[in-house]
Amino acid sequence: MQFDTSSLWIYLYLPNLQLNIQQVHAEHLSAGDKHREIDESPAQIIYHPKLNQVLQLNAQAQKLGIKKGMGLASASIICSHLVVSEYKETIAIQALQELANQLYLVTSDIVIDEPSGLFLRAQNMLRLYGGLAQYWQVIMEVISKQSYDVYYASAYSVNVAKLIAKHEQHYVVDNKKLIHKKLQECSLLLTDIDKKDIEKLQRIGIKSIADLFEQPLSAFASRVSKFSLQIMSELRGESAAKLRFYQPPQRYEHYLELLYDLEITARLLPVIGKCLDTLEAYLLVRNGLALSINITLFQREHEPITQVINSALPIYKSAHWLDIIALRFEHLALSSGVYGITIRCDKIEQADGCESDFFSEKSTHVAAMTLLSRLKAKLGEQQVKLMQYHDDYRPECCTQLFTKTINKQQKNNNLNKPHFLDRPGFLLRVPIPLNTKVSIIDGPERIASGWWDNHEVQRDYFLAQSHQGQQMWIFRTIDDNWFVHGYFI
Amino acid sequence: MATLSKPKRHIGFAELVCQTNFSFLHGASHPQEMVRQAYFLQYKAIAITDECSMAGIVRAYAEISQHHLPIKMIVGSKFVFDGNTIVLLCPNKLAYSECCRIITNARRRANKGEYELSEWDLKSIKHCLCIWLPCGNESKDQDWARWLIKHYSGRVWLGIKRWLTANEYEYISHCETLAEHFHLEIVATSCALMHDPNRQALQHCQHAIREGKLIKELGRHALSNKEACLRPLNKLANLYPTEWLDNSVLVAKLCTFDLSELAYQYPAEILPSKYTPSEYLRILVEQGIQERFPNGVSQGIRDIIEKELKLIHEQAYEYFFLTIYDVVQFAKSKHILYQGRGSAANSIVCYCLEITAVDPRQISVLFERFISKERNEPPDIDVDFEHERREEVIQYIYAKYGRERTAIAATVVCYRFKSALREVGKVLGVNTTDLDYFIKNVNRRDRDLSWQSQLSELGIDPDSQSGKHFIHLVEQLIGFPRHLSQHVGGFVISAGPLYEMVPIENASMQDRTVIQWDKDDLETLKLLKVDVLALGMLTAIRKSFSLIKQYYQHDYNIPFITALPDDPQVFKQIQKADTVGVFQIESRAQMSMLPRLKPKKYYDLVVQIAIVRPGPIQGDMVHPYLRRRDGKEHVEYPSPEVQKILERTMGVPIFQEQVIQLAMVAAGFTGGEADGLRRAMASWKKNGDLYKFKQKLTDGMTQRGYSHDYAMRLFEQICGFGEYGFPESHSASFAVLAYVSAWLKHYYPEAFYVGLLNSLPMGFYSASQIIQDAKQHHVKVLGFCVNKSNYDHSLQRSMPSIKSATELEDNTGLSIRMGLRLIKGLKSESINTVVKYRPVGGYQSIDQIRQLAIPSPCLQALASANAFSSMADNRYQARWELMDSVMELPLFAQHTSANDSYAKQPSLFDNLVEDYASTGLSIDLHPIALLSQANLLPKFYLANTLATVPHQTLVSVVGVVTGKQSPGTAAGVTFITLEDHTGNINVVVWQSSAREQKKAYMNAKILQIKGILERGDGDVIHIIAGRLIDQTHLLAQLDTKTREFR
Repeated sequence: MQFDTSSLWIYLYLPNLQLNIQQVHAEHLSAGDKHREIDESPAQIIYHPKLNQVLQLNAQAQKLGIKKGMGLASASIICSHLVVSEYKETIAIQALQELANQLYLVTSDIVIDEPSGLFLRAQNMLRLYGGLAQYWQVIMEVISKQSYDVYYASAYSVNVAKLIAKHEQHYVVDNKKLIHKKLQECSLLLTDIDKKDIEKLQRIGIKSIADLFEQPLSAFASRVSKFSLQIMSELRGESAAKLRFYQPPQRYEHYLELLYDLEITARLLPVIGKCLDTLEAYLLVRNGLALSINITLFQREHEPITQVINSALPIYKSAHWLDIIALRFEHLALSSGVYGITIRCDKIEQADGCESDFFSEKSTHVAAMTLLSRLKAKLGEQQVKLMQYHDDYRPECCTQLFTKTINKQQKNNNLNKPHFLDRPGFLLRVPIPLNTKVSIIDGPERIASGWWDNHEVQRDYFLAQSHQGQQMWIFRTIDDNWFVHGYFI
Repeated sequence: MATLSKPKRHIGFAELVCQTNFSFLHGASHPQEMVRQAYFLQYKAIAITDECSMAGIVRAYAEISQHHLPIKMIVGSKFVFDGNTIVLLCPNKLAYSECCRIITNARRRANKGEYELSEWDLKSIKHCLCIWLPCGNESKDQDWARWLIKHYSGRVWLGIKRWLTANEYEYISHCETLAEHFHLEIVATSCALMHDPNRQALQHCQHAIREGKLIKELGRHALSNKEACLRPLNKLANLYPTEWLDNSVLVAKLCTFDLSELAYQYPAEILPSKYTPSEYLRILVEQGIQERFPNGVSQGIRDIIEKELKLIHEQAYEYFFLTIYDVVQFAKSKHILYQGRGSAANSIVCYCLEITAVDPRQISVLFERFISKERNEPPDIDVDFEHERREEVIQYIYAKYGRERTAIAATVVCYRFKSALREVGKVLGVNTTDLDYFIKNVNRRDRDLSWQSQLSELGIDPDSQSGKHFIHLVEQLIGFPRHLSQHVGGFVISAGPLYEMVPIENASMQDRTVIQWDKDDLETLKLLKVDVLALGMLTAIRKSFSLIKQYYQHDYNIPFITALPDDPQVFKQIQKADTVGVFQIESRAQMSMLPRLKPKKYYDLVVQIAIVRPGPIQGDMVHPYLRRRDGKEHVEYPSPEVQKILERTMGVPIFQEQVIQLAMVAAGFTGGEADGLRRAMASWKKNGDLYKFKQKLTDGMTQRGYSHDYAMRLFEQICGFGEYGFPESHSASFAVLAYVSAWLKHYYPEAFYVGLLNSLPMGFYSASQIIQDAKQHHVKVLGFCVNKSNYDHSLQRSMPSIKSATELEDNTGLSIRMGLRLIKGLKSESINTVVKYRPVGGYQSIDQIRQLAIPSPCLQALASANAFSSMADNRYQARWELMDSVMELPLFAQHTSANDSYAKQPSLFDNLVEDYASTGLSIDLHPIALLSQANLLPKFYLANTLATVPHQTLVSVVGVVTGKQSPGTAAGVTFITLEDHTGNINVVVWQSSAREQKKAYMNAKILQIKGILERGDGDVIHIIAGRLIDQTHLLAQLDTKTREFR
């Protein structure tokens, strides 16, 4: 979308997002330690391994002489006890989205400028708030809840606002002359102009925006790239950028106040069913499915209870959800009467088209997944474990248990597992001492492996047969003790 | 089947399939370890059968020969073809040649590190014995059995390995059936990948590196147990029927080939048919005598020549000398400058053959010092050629002998600390960032703290199981070969096809092939190699000679200058450490030693070059030498034998040869042991073999009455020599080039600087530093100009700008005109276009140059370097005109651009920044001069004023940081070189000062130092840094490049 150049914009520049998030986390951890002073915090940097550059750094690191753009070797020579974290852009982007989500409650037009900024269009909010000062106060209240390093500036062009903010300013005004003056102080290096063009301009003595404005824009028409020319034009307020507004993610949330308190969980189910009908309608309209819902039960005299209900398959039908919820609620005890229920679904998945034919194994898969959902609801998430093949010589390491839903790749791994003719069909969880006389049929297979995970084994395995004809898998340890590890069926 | 479990009597066994770590990332033991272990286990024989490779056999052979191990070594190689594994063993020399041939074919067909065997290769094998290891597939194995019976009748055995894996009996019975059906004898083998079961973890580690996986991800592809190793006989007796074990010994008995049979034959074409090698060599030497000694030779020299020729004849080295003579004659005919060096190069014979220019009258040559029958070393002659023209010499060798008969020796690239740590860390799942952090923070020079301890300081818990694995595996992997690379220039030339003696494979460089042996292997087998090396200084000297001939009409060459008497003027300049650009004695450390050593003659330079090395410094030999030379300390010799060795260096061992001779004379080393010591010295960083000699050396010396302290110091020095060890024979040749370059600098500075600048990159200094030095020597330097500059830097005659009578005398009217080659981003084609189409009267406008279709970035680069100064007011104006892309369109090609004026003008600071950005130097401006003129700097001393400042004065100096060195020999001390417009300032920064002021120490490009001026021996001035103040912000954008050495 293109905008006129008379709109007032504010740019929020958050250059240290990852570092700030980590600092907040560290403060929480050390909250109990009252004796700890801020000065004691170690020098910390966020490091980009591919660029070999320090991207973010705390005050302690700055004090020691570490600078942005420095290599890791130089930084670590300056400070040998440097705390180094690898840069992850996703952390910053997620934080920006969360901040945008919060700001969306107080301002409408937000643009995320990944990975470290937000544009806010202030112009159309001024009438609502009664002026820039009031509007900005509301915005600041939201921002100050986060402990982020933030620089900000306002201007009648998004690029100007961004440039002044990146100049590390705190400058929100609506006076065009003041803004223009501030803009002229900014360095060319902070603009979005092509790096190559910046270098060219610097080499003819154009180092600041003021220098740039000395020449008419037309003089640059045949001297810089189209992109750079566009930025220059925007900086002069002669054209405006195209931006895409932030849209908050879709989310279902429904609250139902009960007419009277309910104390028995079974009685809650019909009411929940009603709520789920609205969820089903919501999902149907959007062709969506849900994998997980949150149910919060508000108790009259106690804290609310929140239950996360997962399904192994994405579903939308209220009846299916209710089945699972009923199983979960069998074990739920209420402390006092429930006066309200909230059902929330944060993530809605798009329903796929028909992805299988009559001969696919989908129906079996659906049945298995339904069973899994029910078992998990009945027994609890952690109580239901799935089994997976793991490539290892040590028999006890060949299978792994896990609780998370199996993904496609894992499923393929399971399908591709080797068929071991030499392994028994039934493996004992813990080997038992061999107490009967057996005759050895085949072997030994020597397994001496596993040094890397502190579970080294050294055994000779044999195929043996008892007097009853039972074929078993036995092994001898290095100190000549014999054990049974499995039976051939 | 039942036979397998019966207990066995003690019998003999020969391991016929064994892969060492030269089957890269497969075998987990060194070849030496394999043969030692086989001997320990009382095997009858061991075959070294690396996969399509003979790279490890010489090391195994050397181990057996050196330690006289009573075990037979069989040479062979393993191949995987069409899913089947066969091992070819060489019973005799013919078989060995066959095997080398098919390895060469298979390797040459494939990319570096791989091989591609063909059926024809296997069919062409007529003498090798074959051990066939079936793949287990019924039909495939049957087909193969038939094929082998047909082509290897009577020479094939079926090999069975027992690694105690699952379903092994099924496989064994399959093999037994095959053997019975095709009437094949079975031999037992362990197919060893390790010499000891404890190497299993390392083998897993290598396997994971090979697959690019984590160790835990290898699963059932990894070895399931530790059985792939050399196992004791009683264990083998339990695993295999006696017959199979006996068969292995029978096969081993058939193999009688020994590597010592490899006799080397030099190509015959270098010798006219009517002469014997000795006769021809004598003729050439006599001709050389006429040339080199036109006034005849003294009896003394004649005696030495006769002695040398006799020794050469006794050792049958004539061909070697003749081959090198042939190569240098080619270089001479093409006017390529060269200089021989090495143990045999500094003989009078080599002087007469024009291999070297070291004049025997200036150095008391003792040929035996360089070539010794007793030490049994092969003669070593390295020939350096101009670095830009060495390829011509290489191509001559290829053309003369053909690619079949010549190849370059290999260099075995081994895992070093960093690569081992990175690879082991990766396969153990250590985070890459953490590994980077460890690598960057472990100081390998820290002698007080081992890397293991440093790792624990960095967060690895050495007591945890994973920490132990990590450290232990890194320790084991260090020194393991990783791949074969190309030696810098060691050629092996033979009479017949070389691939019949050693396999040849592709190098990574196109059209280059390397043999599978490195220089140590060649030495072991007494094979000679000719080193064709590249040396930048020779290029610089040749270019200077050409300029002198062109502008001064003097035709000089190296022997002419060395034959002149020692020139006191030149040595005076050297004594003042005025040696920027002078070969070998230009480094900061050398420079600080020159005023103390005060070289007065050629041999002093030989000592000077060898003394400022880690060896003598680490062994604390430098100061005693200086004290004795200045007469401050009395020279005493522990014995007359030692006196003979050390007399010429005041009783202090400085050269590598002296250390070796001392080991023989004072510690009783035999010739072989001394040779072993020499090799260990060359590669001790790789494998630490040197420590094995410590006890023997100290014991030997104390038994012979030398003090323990003296012995320890000698050992320390041997360690210090390490890879940097400097032999007198090399130093003597380098001293010639050092003297010649100093002579040129003194008498023809303009030609010298131009020669140097046109040979960059080389040496120690950047173009900027060389230009600064030239200016300090009152040489006029002119800037870049599209109308006057050529590709290279050049000399230009100009009217001298007379300022004083002295300058008038000195001024030759020649100035250095900067060449366009120095401009960053300017391609050579563009330079050639500018120069080629330059009108007689020069270009008149920028548009005229634009019409030459030179790419825009190149034009921009010319503008940046102010090369348009003759046609544009300033570089901003030139750049502004060039930026206009409209003029690049064909429609406007014939139009001149409208007068598009640009008002902005660069300041001096802008020009300085632009100068550095575009060319890395500024001719007219120096940052410190500019800052000083602008009164931006606090009060400070200039470099040229320090000479008058008294010792122990508190001074403040400012300069651009041009060098930062923390040599391993100076514990924790950093030497910083600051440059201002009057010269260089040497600053010493102690570790504590550096630590406290890390910010300035690390980052400053312009540095102010407040410290104490110290004047040492020979008036060497150092500033001992107290405060370091970063003044870079004053010229924030100045793009100076700092050379950093750690």
